[in-house]
Amino acid sequence: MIATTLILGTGPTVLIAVLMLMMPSLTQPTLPLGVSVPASRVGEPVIGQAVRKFRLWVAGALVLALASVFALAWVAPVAASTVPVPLVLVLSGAAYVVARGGIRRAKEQEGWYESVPVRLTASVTGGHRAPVPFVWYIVALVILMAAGVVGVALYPSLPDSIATHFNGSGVADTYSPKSFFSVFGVLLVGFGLVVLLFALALWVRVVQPRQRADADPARSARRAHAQLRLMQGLLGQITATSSLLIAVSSLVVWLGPGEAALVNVGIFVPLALLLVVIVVFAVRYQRAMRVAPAAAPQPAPHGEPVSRAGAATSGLVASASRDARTSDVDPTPSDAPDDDRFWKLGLFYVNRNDPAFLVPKRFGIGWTINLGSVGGMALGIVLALVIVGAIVAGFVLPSQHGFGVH
Amino acid sequence: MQIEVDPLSAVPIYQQIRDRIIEAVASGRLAPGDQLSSVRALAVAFGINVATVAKAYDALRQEGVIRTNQKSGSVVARGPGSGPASAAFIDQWMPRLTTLLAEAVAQGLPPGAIIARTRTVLDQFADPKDSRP
Repeated sequence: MIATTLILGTGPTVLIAVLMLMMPSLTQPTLPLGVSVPASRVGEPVIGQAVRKFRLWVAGALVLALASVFALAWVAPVAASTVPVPLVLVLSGAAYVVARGGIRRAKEQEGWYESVPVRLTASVTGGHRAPVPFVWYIVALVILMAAGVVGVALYPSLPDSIATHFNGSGVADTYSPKSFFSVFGVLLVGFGLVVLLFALALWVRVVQPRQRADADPARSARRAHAQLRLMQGLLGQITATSSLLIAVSSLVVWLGPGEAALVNVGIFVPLALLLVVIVVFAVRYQRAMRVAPAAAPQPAPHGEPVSRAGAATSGLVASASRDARTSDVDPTPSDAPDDDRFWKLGLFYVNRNDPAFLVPKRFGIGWTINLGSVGGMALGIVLALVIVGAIVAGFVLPSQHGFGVH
Repeated sequence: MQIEVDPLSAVPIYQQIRDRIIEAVASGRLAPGDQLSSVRALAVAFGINVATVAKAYDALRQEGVIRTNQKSGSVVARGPGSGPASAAFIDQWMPRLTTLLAEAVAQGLPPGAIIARTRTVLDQFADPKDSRP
């Protein structure tokens, strides 16, 4: 079962490392490595150096992790498929903290924010919400139901004992007597997952977009909206891909848990699909975050009228979409405020004055919890306990590692 | 309708929110009946204290510019077309106008220039589309 171990060990590791390597290009230019910088400074050489340093470290971590997969695959298959991901995550995290330190020091020493006007921007009429892409949740349910139909048809011909647990190398190691739950348990978990992710999507729809001020407020609004829309799409696509993985694993269990080729295809195909989903997302996300969309004539939907400070007295009452005057120098260029002090290690957001429970991640895709809010603090403690519990359980009960249902 | 506030300004943030909304009402970008975000939603969108937004909305409510009720939340309650200004409003607005004009005169702005600039601002309120510099 070496092939399974290699797929499980290298697949997610490469995916995570590639995402880490891409991340500096995915996030907004004014947040290099999660450090808030004014738009006028995004070209500073120190930023390029820090990003190169980060990528070099991540590449090194990937090489190290892959080496560990191949070194461990034959002697300790469980470790070979579980060690590399945390290894890449921890080393990338360290690289992030060290590399961004360079930007922060330069910013402070050279006073990048001195005499830079800063603004907070938001819509007083609620802005635009991203719709839930229902089609992906329907696709996910159809996949699971199709697998269920196949299961019902196969049920009479299934053996009396069903594989319900697989070890780290994809070999069935626990069998249960044939019953409704041992046959359809995985699919039921799948249905539960789809319902959970759908509930999450409905919840995300309610999340207020958080904008980062920009020289062009219309662009800032469009970016915040695109961020929500793309995230909703990704959530739906991940739901559909996960239900495919679950449906395929059920089929593998029914059709032949002993057949390595089947197990490998069952893991590999959904993983490859997930990779495609993530890459397509990353490309579209990068376009939304980085490429100045102000140049594209995109009139109404997100180009809301803007009211700027002192507009009337300075003789400027900004109006409607400002797309028409892209070539002009903005009369009041403004940046988002330097909010680094709320981002501990550039990863954890702690702001007691911010009522938001979820805020867009600083470096990464999606949202993170505001640990300064009461609910955020509570959830943070619960999550920390779960993670510590999982690690402890992993050390105490190493034999339980694997995938399957109990 | 997007607004911007300066978190480092000497002008309190609630005052800035209130001012931006008044300007939007004057220029018709917010019209009577328009729904405003709830206090909490706007505070979340800005990432600022809920009390700050509540204070801005309170001020606007006192001035009769917005109206809040349990069912429909906060809506814009008046605009240039909703009838003449009340005598009470004019009474409390005149001293502020006097101070504002005194500032300009004291700084050496001639009356003609003050009137010309006032006209420009009023024209922008009347037709915000023509206001691009």
